[in-house]
Amino acid sequence: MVFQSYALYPHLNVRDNLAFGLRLRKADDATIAARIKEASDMLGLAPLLDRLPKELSGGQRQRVAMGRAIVRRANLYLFDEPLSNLDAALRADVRVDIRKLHTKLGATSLYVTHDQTEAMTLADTLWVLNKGRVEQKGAPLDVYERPQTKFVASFLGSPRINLVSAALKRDGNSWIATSKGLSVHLSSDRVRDAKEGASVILGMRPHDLRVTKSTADAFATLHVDVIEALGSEAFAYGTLEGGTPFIARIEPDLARITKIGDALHLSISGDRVHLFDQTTERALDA
Amino acid sequence: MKRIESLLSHLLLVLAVIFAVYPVLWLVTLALSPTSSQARAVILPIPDSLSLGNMKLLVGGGTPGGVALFLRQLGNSIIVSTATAIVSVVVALPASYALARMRFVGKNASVRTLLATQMFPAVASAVPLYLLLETLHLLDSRAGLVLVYATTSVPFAIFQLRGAIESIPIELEEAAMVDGASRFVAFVRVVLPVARPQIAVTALFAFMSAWNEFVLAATLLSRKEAFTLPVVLQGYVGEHSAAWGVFAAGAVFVSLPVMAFFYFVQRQLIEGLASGGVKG
Repeated sequence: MVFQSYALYPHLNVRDNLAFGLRLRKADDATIAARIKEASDMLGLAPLLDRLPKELSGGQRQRVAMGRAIVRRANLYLFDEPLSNLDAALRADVRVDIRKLHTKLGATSLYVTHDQTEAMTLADTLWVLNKGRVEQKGAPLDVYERPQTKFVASFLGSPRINLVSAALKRDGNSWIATSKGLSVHLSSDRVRDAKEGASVILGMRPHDLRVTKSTADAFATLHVDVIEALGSEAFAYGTLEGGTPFIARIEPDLARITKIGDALHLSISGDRVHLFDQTTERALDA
Repeated sequence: MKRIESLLSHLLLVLAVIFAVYPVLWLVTLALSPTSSQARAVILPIPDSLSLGNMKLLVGGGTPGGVALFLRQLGNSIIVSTATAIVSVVVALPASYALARMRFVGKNASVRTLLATQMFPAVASAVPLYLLLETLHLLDSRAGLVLVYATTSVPFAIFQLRGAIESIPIELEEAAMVDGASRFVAFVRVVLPVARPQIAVTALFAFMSAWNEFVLAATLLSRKEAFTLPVVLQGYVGEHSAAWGVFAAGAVFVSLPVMAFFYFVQRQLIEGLASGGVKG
C-alpha cells in the first residue's frame, strides 16, 4: 500500500522505515538487509538510508513509501493517489519510475488517481469510476477512443471533449446530426438503432478537428476568443454560430497568424464523432 | 522606526523579566544570608555576606537525626511525584487513545465528565478524600498521596494526550497495520514514539503538580516522616515564629531541580517529532 500522504514513520530513518514490516514479520537480519538493498538500489534510496523522513524532499519521501511496499514482496500493490502531493515536474519523473517498477516487479498493481495522464500512461486496464460505479473498463486507448458514456468521454482527454446537443436526421443511407450552427455527417457504425429526430449529445475531441479552407467541407464555423499556443500544438477557444462554446486543436503555424475574432472552418471525420443518448447519456454504439 | 520598535520591545521584555525575577532574587538573598540576619525592606536585595547556614538548617544539620528525616522527606517528594507522573501517563495513554481514535457509546459524555472534574478546586474534595483514605488506611502514606494526586492529574493528562494522538495522522497507524502490525503493536511502535515529546510534557506536568502540591498533602499527612517538602517548608513559618531564611532556602531547594530540568529539556519539549512523516 502506498499512501497519498506517504505515511512514513517520522521517528524512524529510511532504513528502519523499510525494515518495519519485515521486523514485524520476524524476518532475519540477513533477509532484511538484502531486501533493503534491493529496494534502495531499485529506487535510488541508498544515499538516504540514514536520514529521517523530515530530511527528505517530497519525491524522496514518495520513493521511500514505495520502497516500504516493495520490500514486502506483496502479490498486490495498492497506490492511493501517490503523486498528488508532488509538483508537476517531479510527478512526471516519479510516474515513469512507477511504471518501470511495476514492470520490474511483475505484480498486480491497483492504482487510484484523478489524473488522466497517470491513468492513461500507467494502466494496462483502466477502470473509470463515477460515484462508486464502474462506468467503463478496458485498455486505456480503447476507453479513450470508444467512451461508452458521456462521463467517460468528458473525463478523459485534455482539453475536454466538445459536447453539443443535436438532433438526428436521416440522409439517404447515412445520418446527419444538426444543431444551431452545426451539421455533421455521421459514420453509420456510430449510430445503432437510432430514430429520426432523436435528440443526442455529440462529442468531438479538439484533437480530431481539422481546419479547412472551404466552407463546403466544414460542419461548423468557430469564432475565436482565445488562442493557447503550447509550442508543439495550439488550441483555439471560441463559440459556434449558435453561441455554443467549442475548442479546436490547430497547427502551431496557424496559431501564429490567427487573431481573436477570426472565423475558422472546422471539419471532422464522421467516425471520430461520438454520439450519446440525451437521456441515458450512453453511447449509441455501446 | 524599526530600531525604535525593537528598542521598545526589548525594554518591555527587560521590565517583564525584572518583574518576574525580583521576588526570586529576594528569595535567593534570604536563603543565602547568614541565619542571624533579619529580613529587611530594601529596594535591591543583595546579601551583606553569603552563608550556607540556612541550607544547613534546612537539611536538618541543626538537630540530631535531622538529616535522616530531611532525606526521608525529600525521598517522599521524589517518590510521590515520580509515581504520580508514571501513574498519570500509564492510565491516561490508553484512555486518550480510545477517546482519540475509537467510536463508542458514551464517548462524549465521558469527555464531558472528565472536563467537569477539572472545574472543582482541589480543596473542595479534601474532606471526602480524607475520609476515603481513612477508610482505605492510606492516610500518612505515599501510596495514598499518589492516588489522590492521580485523581486530578489523570483527567488533565487524558486531555493533553488525546490532543497529541489526534494530531498524529491516522495513516501512520494504517501503514503499520498494512505492514502487519496489530492495533496494539501500531500503538506501541508508532503512536508512542511519535507522541513522545507530548508524553514527556504530560509526565512533567503531573510530576510538577505533585512536587509543588501543598494543601492536600498538609491535610492528609500528619506524621513528620510522611511529609513532602512543601509541607516541611510550611513548618518553618509558624504562628509564633518565622524562620524566613530557612523557608527561603527550602523554596530555592525545591525549585532548583525543576528549573534545571526545564532549562535542559526546553528544546526537546518544543520540538515536534511528528513533522516530516506525511506530506508537507
